[in-house]
Amino acid sequence: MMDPILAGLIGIACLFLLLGLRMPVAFAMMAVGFFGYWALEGLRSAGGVLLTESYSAVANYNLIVVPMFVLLGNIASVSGFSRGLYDAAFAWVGAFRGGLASASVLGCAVFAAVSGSSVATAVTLGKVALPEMKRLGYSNSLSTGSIAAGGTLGFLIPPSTGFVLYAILTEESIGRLFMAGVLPGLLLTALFMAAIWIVSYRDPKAGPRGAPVPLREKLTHLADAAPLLGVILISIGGIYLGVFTPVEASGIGAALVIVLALVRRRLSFDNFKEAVKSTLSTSAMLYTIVIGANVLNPFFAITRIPATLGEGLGALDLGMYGTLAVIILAYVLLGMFMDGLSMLVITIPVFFPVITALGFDPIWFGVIAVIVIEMGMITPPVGLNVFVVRGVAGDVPLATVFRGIWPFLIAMIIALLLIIAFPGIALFLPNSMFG
Amino acid sequence: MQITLESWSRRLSAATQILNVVAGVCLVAIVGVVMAGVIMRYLFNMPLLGVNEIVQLTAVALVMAALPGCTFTDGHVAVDVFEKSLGKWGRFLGDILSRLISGIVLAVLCRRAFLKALDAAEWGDATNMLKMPIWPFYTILSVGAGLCALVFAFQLIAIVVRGAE
Repeated sequence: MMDPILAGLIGIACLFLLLGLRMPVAFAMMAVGFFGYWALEGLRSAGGVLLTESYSAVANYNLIVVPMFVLLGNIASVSGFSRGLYDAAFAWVGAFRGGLASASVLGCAVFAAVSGSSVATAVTLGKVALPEMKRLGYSNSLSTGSIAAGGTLGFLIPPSTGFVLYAILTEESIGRLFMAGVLPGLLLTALFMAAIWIVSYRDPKAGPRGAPVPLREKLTHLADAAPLLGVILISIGGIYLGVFTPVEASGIGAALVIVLALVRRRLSFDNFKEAVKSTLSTSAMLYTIVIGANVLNPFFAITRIPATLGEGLGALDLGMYGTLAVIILAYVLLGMFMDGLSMLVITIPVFFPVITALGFDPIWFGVIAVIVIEMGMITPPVGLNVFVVRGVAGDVPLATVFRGIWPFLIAMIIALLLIIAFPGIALFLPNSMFG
Repeated sequence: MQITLESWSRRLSAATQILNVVAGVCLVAIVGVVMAGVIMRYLFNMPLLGVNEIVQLTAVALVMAALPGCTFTDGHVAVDVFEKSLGKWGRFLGDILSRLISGIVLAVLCRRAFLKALDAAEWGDATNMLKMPIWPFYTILSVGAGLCALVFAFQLIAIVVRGAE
């Protein structure tokens, strides 16, 4: 029989080769897991693992939050609730320096609370905010940069697909991870707005102030956005108070936003069909990634590669924070080339045991991993959100969008350092949860 | 050849759309069941028995019915950073290899799930709480994986016929 470590190394080489050949990440993981297991344990066992792991992924009760929250976000998007959010945000912060860009980030942060995807957040708010910023003469780099960065909040602010996957892979609580994302999400939103203020202060033409809005109008816009804010409060607040499980909160949230859209006559049958179709495609894509990870991980486990890598990392004797720095650096490097979700499922089996053995809190590390992955979504050469925003903006060169990213990247590094220095920013809410 | 490929494409598209309707119904059903469970527990103090099982099994149907459609429309995440550097023939080879391997794995999954469904039907395997038979869910797992493998086979033929671009 082949040496397990050698089989593991061949498996890793094949995985990267297949990824390089543009094979879908989920199927590349599934194939390497299946054929690797076959090489070590025979076809019968490999077929058994393929079936058992696939079934246990699709029948996973906790994963239901994915289609539910994706549906919630899609219905909110096709019903035009994002426009209301943006208008309300602009009414309150539009008169500051770079007000429209700040309103976009604030809109992204609120929309992130109904959507678990950074791409969906960037597309939804980008469609509304980019034409407005162009009309008011905002610089292309600031307008596109703020949307690309603001979109990443979708991955951090609950409900987040990143946290759901992390929870499934590490058997941590989805509810606690969701709560751990709230304060870091708000901190990052504030830092993004501060970055916009500084850019606009240094170059007032980059982000001119909007006209002041009277208080009455501000309140009217707030009232218009209130129902969606209510849905967020009920679903996320319900998890915090222990009234709902995350699955129940996602179902209630989806049902409420459908009812809300129907009552306000904003949901036609065609819109509903579009939202459901998009939800099905996203859910199938995400579930297949989980199936792929589920099939790949048993193979890696029998090769002892994750354990050996972990021991190797431990043997470097870099200390707690030195090891953490190496792991973060690895994420930053991988993030330049890989999609965030794929990166998470491939790296967590290796890094998670090391992190917990060092005494770091697993929930806290989930937040750190998600923020570093967010950074990968906007760093060159492959920044998914940058590509998406460029697609929405149309006539802006890719280099301009990447140039606009730097202030936000610095804001993310500051947020990361603050959360490492003060873990309470992430852990305060989950530690004070009921139930 | 072109006409045959087009007619196959239409048939596959129709099949994936029918399964998408099934998946859509499952999605709405899950929203309804979860909502009903919460309402019954808090408003009527009568927790619904086995909500988890219903949701879990409906999710199996949802995902496996949605998977072929997602594959047909190239909805899966791939790393395309090396797209240009692969060159015409590299992309051609990669596209063929990717479909071939994915198709084989899914065909194995389809077969294993079908055998498991037969086994579960023969032995009367059922869920713990509601005693629902589980063979229909292995069957839909098999159908979803099988149709997905067919989609890959179709794409493979289409790529070979089209040639390197």
